[in-house]
Amino acid sequence: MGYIRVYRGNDLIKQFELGKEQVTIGRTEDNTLVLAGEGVSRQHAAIEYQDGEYYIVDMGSQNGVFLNSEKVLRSQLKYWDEIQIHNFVIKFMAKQGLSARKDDAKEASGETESDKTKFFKITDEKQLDDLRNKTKECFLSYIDEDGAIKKVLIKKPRVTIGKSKDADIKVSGWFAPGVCATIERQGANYELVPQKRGKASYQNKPISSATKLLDGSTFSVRGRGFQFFNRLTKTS
Amino acid sequence: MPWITVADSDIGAREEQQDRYLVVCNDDKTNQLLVVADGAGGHTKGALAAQTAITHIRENLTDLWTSEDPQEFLRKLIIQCNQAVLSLGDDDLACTTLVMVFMRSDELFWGHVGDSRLYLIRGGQVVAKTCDHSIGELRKRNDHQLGHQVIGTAENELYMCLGALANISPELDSSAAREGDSVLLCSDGLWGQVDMAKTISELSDTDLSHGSLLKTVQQSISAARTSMPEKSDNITLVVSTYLKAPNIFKRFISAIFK
Repeated sequence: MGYIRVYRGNDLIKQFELGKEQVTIGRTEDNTLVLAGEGVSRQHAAIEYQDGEYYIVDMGSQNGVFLNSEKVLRSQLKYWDEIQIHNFVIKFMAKQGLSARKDDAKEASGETESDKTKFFKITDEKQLDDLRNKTKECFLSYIDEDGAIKKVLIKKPRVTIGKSKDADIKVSGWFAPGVCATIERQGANYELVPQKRGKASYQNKPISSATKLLDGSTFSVRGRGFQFFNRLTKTS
Repeated sequence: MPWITVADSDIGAREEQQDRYLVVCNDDKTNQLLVVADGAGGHTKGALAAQTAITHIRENLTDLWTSEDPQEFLRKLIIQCNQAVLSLGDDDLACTTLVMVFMRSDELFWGHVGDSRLYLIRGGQVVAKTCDHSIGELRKRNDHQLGHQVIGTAENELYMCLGALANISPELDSSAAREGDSVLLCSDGLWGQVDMAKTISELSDTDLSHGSLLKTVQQSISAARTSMPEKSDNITLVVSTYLKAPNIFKRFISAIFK
């Protein structure tokens, strides 16, 4: 099933559901979709249905039919495609937008409430997944007391490094405090926050205040070296 | 409670208040949850959608306070809210945005769908902000296919909210708060009608007392309303500022000197 919305500039002028019968587009009244404009031919184009798919066809127009800004003679339509004919834009979509009946009726009659929230429906859930499944993965790598390389995923807003038994990463040493340093999430960034007697340094320089950690940077706490990673990964 | 929280809302120039908010804390007042929902739809439907989400949250909070993984808890809760709003049934538009933040002492976990926002503010600067699920934001990010595919659609249309899609992917994030940090939740009636930089700076200059914060919040809401007297949207603003509880020793000393 397909649905089209017809715009002139930013104004929605018509919208309807497509069936299996051909929709003819042109300047004269005998067309299914009449687009009044000098640049539109009498029989300009048509939308045809064949084996479950819709096609846009140029019916020998003077000024051509453009699909997503490329001139086409006949082309299969995908959801979200935009057909340009003269100064009209025809959007092809899976379904009527949720708010279409109410808000678009207002748009058409010129009573646009631009500040009003409107809902645009992405019906293809795969698109939504594609949009969402890129997330940053943050982790630390370090060499533990036994010489093994450890990788710690940072999931919490605060990761503690210290001698305390509650610390997420343990460090030892006679004078090491319970918490030597913390790694704190700050929006999209992470910061290394040194604590008293924690002996924290970032990129080989001792630090005394919160310091932003960059992807791939190194730091040490009480002599133990760490490397920090914050990079985009596909989680799915 | 280490957080001072104030909230207010205004109907604007609309016939109906479709914004809803919720401020709730656990029994020992160490943890807190803030929610803002901005409903949209025909007569009474938008308000019903927002109210449904809020009610669902309030009735399913018990396990949040002790949750091992608050982020995952919020994700599931938002997905359940979507089901609850979807089950309102019938063909009329009944959608709502949702932004919520869980404060566990100084740890913040938040999630959202739609264009109601969260700002984390420190020293007058925005440390973190949610990214609206709107066509305009997609276009700004224009690295994604979808941004191109929806050219020509209004900037403020949402591609994700509660009550429209069977499956949603709430966006989640977290941060560690520091002394004096403020968390601000608002509907688009606020951020769309005022200069947020000004609002944020005014909030940052406010005394850290309940009364002063509430006054500033009310002034911000009033500024938003008067900026569009004829067609102001519903406006909601919730602000919470983190203050470490003074330790027992300090309390003892101050008690002596009183």
